[in-house]
Amino acid sequence: MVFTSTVFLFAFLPVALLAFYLVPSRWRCAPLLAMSAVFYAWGEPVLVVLILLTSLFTYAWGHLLVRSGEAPPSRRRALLLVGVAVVLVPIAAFKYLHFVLATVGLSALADDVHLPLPIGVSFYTFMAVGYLIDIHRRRDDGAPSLLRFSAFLTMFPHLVAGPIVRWSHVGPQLARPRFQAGMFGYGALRVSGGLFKKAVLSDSVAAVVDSMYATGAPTSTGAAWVATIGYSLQIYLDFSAYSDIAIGLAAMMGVHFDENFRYPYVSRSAREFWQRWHISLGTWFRDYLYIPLGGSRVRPIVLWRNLLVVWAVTGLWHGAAWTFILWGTYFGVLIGLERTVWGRAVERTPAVVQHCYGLLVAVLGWVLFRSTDLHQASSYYLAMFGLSDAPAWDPTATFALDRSWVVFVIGALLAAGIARPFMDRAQQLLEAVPAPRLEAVAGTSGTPTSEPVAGTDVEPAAVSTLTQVAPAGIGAGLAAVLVAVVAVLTLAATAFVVATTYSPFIYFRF
Amino acid sequence: MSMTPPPDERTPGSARVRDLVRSRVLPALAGVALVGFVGAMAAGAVALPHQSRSTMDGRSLRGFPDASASSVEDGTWMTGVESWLDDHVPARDRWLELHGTLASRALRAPVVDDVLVDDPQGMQLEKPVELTLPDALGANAQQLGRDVRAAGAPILWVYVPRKEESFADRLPAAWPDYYLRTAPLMKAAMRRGGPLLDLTPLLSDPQHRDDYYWRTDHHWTPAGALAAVDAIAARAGQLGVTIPPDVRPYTTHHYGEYLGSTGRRVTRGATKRPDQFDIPQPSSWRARGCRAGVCDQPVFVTSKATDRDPYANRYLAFTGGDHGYQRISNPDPAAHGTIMLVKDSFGDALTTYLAERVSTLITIDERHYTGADLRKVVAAQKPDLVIVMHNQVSVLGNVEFDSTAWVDMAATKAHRAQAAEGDG
Repeated sequence: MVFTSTVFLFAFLPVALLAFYLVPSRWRCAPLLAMSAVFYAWGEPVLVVLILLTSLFTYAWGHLLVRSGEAPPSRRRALLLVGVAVVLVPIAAFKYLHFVLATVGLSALADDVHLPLPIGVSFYTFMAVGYLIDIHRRRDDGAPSLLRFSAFLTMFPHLVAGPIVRWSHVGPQLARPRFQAGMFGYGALRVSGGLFKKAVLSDSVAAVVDSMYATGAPTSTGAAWVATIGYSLQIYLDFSAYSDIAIGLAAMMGVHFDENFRYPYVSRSAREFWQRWHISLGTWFRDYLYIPLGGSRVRPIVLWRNLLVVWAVTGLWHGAAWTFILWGTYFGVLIGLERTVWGRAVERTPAVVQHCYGLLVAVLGWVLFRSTDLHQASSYYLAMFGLSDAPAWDPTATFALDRSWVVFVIGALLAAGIARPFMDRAQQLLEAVPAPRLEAVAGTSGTPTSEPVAGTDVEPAAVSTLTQVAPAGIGAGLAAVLVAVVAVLTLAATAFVVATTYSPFIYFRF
Repeated sequence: MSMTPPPDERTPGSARVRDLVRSRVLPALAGVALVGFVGAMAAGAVALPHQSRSTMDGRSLRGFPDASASSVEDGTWMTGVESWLDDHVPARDRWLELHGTLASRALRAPVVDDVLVDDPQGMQLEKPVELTLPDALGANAQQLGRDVRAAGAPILWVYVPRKEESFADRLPAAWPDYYLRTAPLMKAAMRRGGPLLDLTPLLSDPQHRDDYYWRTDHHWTPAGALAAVDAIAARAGQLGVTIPPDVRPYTTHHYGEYLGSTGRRVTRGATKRPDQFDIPQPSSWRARGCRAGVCDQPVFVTSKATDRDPYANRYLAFTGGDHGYQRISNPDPAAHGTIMLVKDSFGDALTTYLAERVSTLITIDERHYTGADLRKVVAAQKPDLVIVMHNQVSVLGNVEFDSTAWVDMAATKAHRAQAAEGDG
């Protein structure tokens, strides 16, 4: 089910919230699980069994790991490896089997493999793997009940496209999720903002970008840049919108999710970009792959190995294609070079140069991500730098700009953080956020207070405490402003939802 | 004198209430507004009366699907429910209008749903679609021309340019010029069947073209149709067939605002200048359509023109819309001759005016026609002239239309039957 669909907004959402709040708080995981199953089964009526089985197995195996607390480390490690291997079976089969067979030269066999990609498999698999590893590392005691763990793993706000939440953070909140007025209001603000970003802005850019990429090679240098910048805005608006809606829906149910985006296009390096983009994925790879490989405090050759492995896998996580692997490796190489070659030099340049560098790095990366194959990617790179036969400018570029310049401007302003003061203030006033995170969320320094990305020296973040900072309350004037903002954003989004047929989020395919 | 105590003298109870409101009620209001809205929409979708047809879309709205184990398992039931809800969202037309307004005015999009909406004159133009010319089109036209002439009637081919051909210079340069590429091929195919009247120069005349086409519809206006009638009459005269003029004065009747096919598609919200359904009419329509041997059907259906629905398809006023076969009789002595018109929907407006000039007008729309072979109709009706009038989309872009229909109507029927069985 797509968030920006009439069936979600005008059928599922009101019913789900009603069912959630109609039962006592200690039992709310039951309707949450039931509604999440319906949410998933709506698009995957058969494969819903897969996620439920994943949930059942992960919970049971986690219990086994907990009970093996006194066993020798080698036995516990073996248990973990078996558990992780089993959890990875669905994603390996459904997502990567065809690609692997084709890559090793078994194309004929690969052509016989027609497995549908289960929605959200990359997200819930990583959540399950992280859960088992945390128990193995004795950082977690595991879920107290299958019901609560299943509700955590299948929770519909994050089910399809993240964020990749962790049991240690979300699980305890599901013990007695309560109605919290401020979170309810703040959640609505995030949901309406996400709906607006996706339905009004992202889908509008998508129409232009898709038509340009559909022609194969770019028709001019200008067209290549317009298409690439357009896609950069589209994917940011699209994916961050999903995270906004997920975070907002969870908040409306009294559950706090960590941020998944922090204005990535204001980054000043590739490394910082990944501290701000899809944060939950970056921290997952850092904690569960990069650090176990040795992290950064190793010999340079090992560091490069670690970086390339982690980032190639990060690319592969996004899709079983060489373009994705190259895209991930591109960032691994850049982050490595920033660490070892030009990072210091870049830091000594004026801030505007650093921002231009960071933006260029991100934008050029999206060419690989968006292209259907390496041939198209290379044609775009050549055209962008005037190395192809394409003219400098053509009517296609003019028309694309004509069609979307307003959305470009709005999207760029949002990506630059124009709404940040308002959103941060609203969050401070409304949401009871975990205390250690408040500063990072509300900070205005332009850089996050932690470095959640592979390639840094930072150790895994400590499990957040759930000390709640009680909001002080708001006056009638601010309440009216919030209602007006939610109303305007929701009404505009509804108009576009009603007018648009099926338009899934980009990250649905991951 | 105010009776309100100063804040520091308020009772603890009122302070508690105030704090409660500030911390528990006001913060939740935005959430209550959102949930109230989606809840009201959900209730409305279920409880409000459901329309069965949308004039804006020109189609029937989908019904709620029946559930079965297989339809749930394969997801078709869910898709059906989504389609049903999409169709029955409360105030759907208003939402679509709001979308059109936001897209065209707030986001300044020049194109909405593949329709250019920012032409300075308000002329809405569709993005051309790529069409392919069937190999046999020219041969079929040639065969039809031979057969018609063998049956004793001259034939006149008439090419009607799409609006996007007449306004090609006002299309975005980035859009493909598909129609300009296929037009010469289509005309060449038609020429193989006999003399061709190409209306492109007439309808593309920069001085008049804005009057010849509706701004919000892909068809021509009465002015365009009347100009075409005059051009056809002149060309028919060269073939020795007289189509007399209608010398009566025509006065313009105003039927109100009109949103045509593209206007309905982008809605009023994205329409810069809606059309006015202003129709030049004689004091009385002399011609009457015949049904079951009785000729009493109006050629201009006033009820369609005066439909109070703002999204009503008023173009249906012309002969009541498309008919597979229609015979129109005009008993007035001033009218003269029998014409057979093979046409598409451009022919509807033309028929209304042409029928005022000829004694008998037989129209055939191949897209809907299920009768006998064209050659047999020609042999039976013995028309003074057979006119085959088409725009390229109705011939090349219609999946139901089989170009061999110009020779063998049975092929069309077979084609349609195949399509109905899912083979088409």
